[in-house]
Amino acid sequence: MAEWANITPRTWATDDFVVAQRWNQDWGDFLATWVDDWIDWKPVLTASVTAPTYDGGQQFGAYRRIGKYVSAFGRLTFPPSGSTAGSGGYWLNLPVPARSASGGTQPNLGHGFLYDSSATNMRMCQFNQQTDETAVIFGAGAYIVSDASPWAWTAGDGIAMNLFYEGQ
Amino acid sequence: MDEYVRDFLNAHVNAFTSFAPSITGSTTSPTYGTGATRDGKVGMIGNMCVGWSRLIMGTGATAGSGSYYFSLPAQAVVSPDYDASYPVASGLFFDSSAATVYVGNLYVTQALIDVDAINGRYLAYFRSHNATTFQTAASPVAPAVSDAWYLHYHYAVDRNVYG
Repeated sequence: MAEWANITPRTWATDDFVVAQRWNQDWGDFLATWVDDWIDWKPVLTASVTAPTYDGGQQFGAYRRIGKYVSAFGRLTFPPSGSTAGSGGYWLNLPVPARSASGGTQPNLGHGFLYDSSATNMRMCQFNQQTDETAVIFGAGAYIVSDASPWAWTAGDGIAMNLFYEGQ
Repeated sequence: MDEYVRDFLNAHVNAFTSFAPSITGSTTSPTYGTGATRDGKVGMIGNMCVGWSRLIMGTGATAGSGSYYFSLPAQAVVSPDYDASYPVASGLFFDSSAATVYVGNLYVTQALIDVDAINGRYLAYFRSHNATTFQTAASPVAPAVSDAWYLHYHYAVDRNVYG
């Protein structure tokens, strides 16, 4: 299951007694989210102008949601051939919509790294909420990660992420 | 049952609560300027604190002087070894005029007991990816209008001193 959300925990009255259905809905399902496998999730990149293409590349990840708490990890790697970098700033699709926040650049949702295969170079990055469904990526020593920043994205390059945020 | 089940579950279901970060300078504290943004949301489950904050300098902001100490949403557990710091948040500092991002961590240390100045809690330092020292009013740059910190907390809370 690994997802327990949109639940209103029961307020128990004096004469209430525990029955299996109540116990499972209010407690068993919650515990199951901690022990069940995480839900498969494929990180997807879009862009402010034209989305990159990376068919055949590596996309793996998983997420878990417990109430408002969303945890996710993943990695996206451009394939050996046939990828295109697209154009504009890159956005990462979130596994679960984040709580809306108003004004300016949005909250920080997690961290990760950028990998430049040709230069064998790794760079730290941060993921900040762009919309409720997407995150913008900030690269260390640079600015917004895009088709050309901090480098032009080609075969073997990748983005890895570890997210922990408040879901809707 | 409510105390042991419902209230615990509600800690997971309830919306995160508000938090406004602040910075204290070891010599002179910065001023945030007109129109500054200081907000955040944090969730607390038992002794775990997670969430985010942002501090965006407004018009007329001043950098102050000395080392920067950042407030935390709740007291963090600190090492019993004096000055043994560890990260309690990841994040970035954004230099608006140069359009440059400094990615780094926020570190808490017991040494900060000596200079604690906000709400009776420990404070923390920010150190970016290529810096040899913690952030100060002058390094890596003197913060000015539109410069900003975005922090992402995930750490253990010390309930004995949590205020």
